[in-house]
Amino acid sequence: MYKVTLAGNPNVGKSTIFNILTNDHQHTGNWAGKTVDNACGKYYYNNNYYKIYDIPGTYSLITMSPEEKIAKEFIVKNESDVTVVICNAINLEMSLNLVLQILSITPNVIVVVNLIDEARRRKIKIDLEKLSNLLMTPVIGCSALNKEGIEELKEKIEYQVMNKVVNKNKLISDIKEDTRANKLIEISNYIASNVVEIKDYKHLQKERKIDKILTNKITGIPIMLLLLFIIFWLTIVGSNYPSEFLSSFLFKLEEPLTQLLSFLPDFINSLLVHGVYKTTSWIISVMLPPMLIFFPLFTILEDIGFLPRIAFNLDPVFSKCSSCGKQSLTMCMGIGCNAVGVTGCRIIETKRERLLAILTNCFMPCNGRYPLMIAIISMFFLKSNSNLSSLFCASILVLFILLAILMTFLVNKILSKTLLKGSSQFFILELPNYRRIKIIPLIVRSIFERTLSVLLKSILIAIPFSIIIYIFTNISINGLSIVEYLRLYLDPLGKLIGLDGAILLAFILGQPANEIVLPILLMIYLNTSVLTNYDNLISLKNILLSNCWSIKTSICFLIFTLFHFPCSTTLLCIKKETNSNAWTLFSYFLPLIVGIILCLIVNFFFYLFS
Amino acid sequence: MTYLDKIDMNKTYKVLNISSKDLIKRRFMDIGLVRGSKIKKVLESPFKGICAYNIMGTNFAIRNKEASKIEVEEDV
Repeated sequence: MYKVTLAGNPNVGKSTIFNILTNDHQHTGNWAGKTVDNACGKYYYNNNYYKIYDIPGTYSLITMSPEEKIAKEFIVKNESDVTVVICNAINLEMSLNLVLQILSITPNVIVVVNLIDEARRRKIKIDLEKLSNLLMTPVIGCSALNKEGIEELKEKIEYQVMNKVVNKNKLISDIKEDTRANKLIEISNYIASNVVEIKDYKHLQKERKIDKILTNKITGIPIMLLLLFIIFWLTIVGSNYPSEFLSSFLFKLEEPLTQLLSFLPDFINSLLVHGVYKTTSWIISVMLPPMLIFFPLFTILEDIGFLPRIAFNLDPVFSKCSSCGKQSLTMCMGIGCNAVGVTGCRIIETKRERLLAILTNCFMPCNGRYPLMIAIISMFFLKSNSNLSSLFCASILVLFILLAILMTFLVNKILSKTLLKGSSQFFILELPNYRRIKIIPLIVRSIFERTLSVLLKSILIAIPFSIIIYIFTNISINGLSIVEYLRLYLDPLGKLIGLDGAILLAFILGQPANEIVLPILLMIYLNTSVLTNYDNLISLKNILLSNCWSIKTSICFLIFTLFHFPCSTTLLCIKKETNSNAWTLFSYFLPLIVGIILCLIVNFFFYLFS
Repeated sequence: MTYLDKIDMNKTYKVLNISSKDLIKRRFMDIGLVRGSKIKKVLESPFKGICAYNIMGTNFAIRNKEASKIEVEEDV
């Protein structure tokens, strides 16, 4: 078995090449720092196994951030038989700097010039042969997206591991240590000017124009909000019918399933069908359709390269709150899944700012929560079923997200003045070139990588919990089930913040996955031992209304959905990232306190005006 | 001579001196920003405070606070 390391600047397509080589499905995206952990995979070629390591992207090996340390250690220790350095054909000069640095520590290097098709499209000509001669290293042109050049790469890797180079590259070995960094930049400049020829600046100018519009004083922020709005609106409009269809289909299977399992004792049978199966079908029918629409749309924005522009637009605001602009990237990831967002905080270099981003990440409603919010908003703010009201519904959702963003800023500010004192530190953010996307592979990728994995995760968490909930509701003491006792116990606290005991209990029992909050709530309200079927919003609304829900309750519920404790998976990630029980505990109570305060304020206003 | 945060858009400048702290200086070095490199301002954030510069063909956003520590002169 041979060891191969993939290195390169951030955002040059390392993960894509890794995925093709290993047939894996690592998540990729057009922004710096997408891969934060070493990934490892394996492939088979001509009777040999190759173990391949995808290390986080880095501009240089002069270490500072955690990802760069990982990268350097890996190459310096020379554990791998060959290091493949991936370059970006569109800005080769920047990549060359790293190539030269790596050549100065290991002679066994293959240079891959990726995105060669993008370069062609932009009329950028790169003389690969000349580059190879100048670097005294094999060079391969490649387009990972079209799988062009991958076979050649495998061949070259085979050749290189069989015929190891031992001598240091003459190009750099003569340079003295103290002037090396400057000298290497000079050399990259020299090489780039010799091998790259830009025949047409039209594309570059077009990109600058797009950038100007997206970051303009007047249009920049409205465009961002509009895109967010459009994504949510499409999600709301598109997921309504599939949801109903899915649920009626899945619930029809319940009867046959009971029959099928009739050989089991009654209690177990009911536990499996009414407990486990029903919860699972709830989650699938409520979550799957919005995810199928939201994730591909979001992936498009990500792959084109829009997210770093958001960070660029918003950094001054983050800076005023003593935090880092890159936090907006982790917040965007949080809209998908908070656990992913928390892990993504590694792209933030300074510890204090990283901690701020981790603690406030769960303010962003994840994909388990906004279907819940969409349901409540549609019930209480939607008057008729016209298109106009779905627009209205999406605007309300955007308003709540704005509230979440506002609270993120506010809490950042408060924490930087108290517990996490300090001012905002230095950071550099790359604004990558826009990239063309291929729609169909993108949709397939977003379904397999994100939708299914998130869905599977929430189902896996929900299964044991559905058993617990089933037992809780079916064991009664003195005529009242355990759930009833808990509900009565929590009621005063719930009423105080404009909710009730049942809602609080639903959130507590929904701890493993927020998407089961609504079904649990209905279960408690209907005082049934099994989950109710999801038929349509009107019947759901009637259940809520008959339990004294008002506009106030719905607003408080929406606020509490945004701000309560993070789900179990997120907490585990926070524990892993902060490596501290105290911060994990703090992250549990922080959003809860924010939520309670906001609900109290809303209550107070309703009290004043009624 | 002027400072990086004060330069005109879309004109090429040459870096004369970087008086940032060591750690930050090294970070600049990572992205190819050293004495003698060419740099061009390409974008301004709508809320001010941060600008994007083209260095070695790549665009990087740097806050004005740090940019003000980089001395540059127009490249002719």
